[in-house]
Amino acid sequence: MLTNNFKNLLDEEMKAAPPLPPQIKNNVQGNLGFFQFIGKTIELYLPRALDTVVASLSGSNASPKQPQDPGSSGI
Amino acid sequence: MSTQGKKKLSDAELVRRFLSTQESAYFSVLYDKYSNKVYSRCLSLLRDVALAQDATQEVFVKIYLNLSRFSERSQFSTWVYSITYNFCIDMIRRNKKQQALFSDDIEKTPDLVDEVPDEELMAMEVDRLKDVLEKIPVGDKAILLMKYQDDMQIKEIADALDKTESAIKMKLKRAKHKAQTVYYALYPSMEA
Repeated sequence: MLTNNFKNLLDEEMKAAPPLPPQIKNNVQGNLGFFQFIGKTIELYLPRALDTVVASLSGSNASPKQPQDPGSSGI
Repeated sequence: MSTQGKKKLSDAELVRRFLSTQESAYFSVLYDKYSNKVYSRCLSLLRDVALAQDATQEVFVKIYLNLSRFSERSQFSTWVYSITYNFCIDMIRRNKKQQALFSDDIEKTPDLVDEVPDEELMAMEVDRLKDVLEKIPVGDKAILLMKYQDDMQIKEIADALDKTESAIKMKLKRAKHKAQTVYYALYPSMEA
């Protein structure tokens, strides 16, 4: 079997490294929660916000036309 | 599913389940499995505990944000280490404001005729190998670690560093040559 001291070096460095503080995991989970919150917010509100924008832009055209009074022909 | 049950799942399965459920417990299992491995690689390249801790955190945020792009064509570990090396190299480049991280960027070495045999590098004593890796440019070190520590293929290294396969082959060849030159400079008695 071929010796690979790169892997032995990695093992030694992992043993010698100071432990990773649990705070890092909390920070990662915090970031994850934040991104999930943003994602859910966008998923929930973006379609409605777009609908609102579309409705407000086309509001004057979207309203049903008033039925014309047959008596008032405009003449 | 219990935590023990989740720990028995393969990496690819954990990714699939996390993406479909967004249940953070699946990501947590991946974090527990890889955080120390990512951290030791960051520490090896950055040589600073605080920077390595920051980098580990950033790498996991990057992993989370890019998880949907993990294609399962490579192993999950390879994909994670690619992000790690890439992030650390960028961090060094930003901090040192230097663009040249590889020996062939720094010195225009002529095309080398003889390739240093893999066995010769891999057989260097651990302490000596550590000294050599400290003395060569960090880009060269990263390429050697990707190739010999993490068994990454040339294509995977090329994808990770956004370079062509032929460029990586040349950089690897020069990194090996640089490592050998430094080794003989540090330990002249080893030169045949």
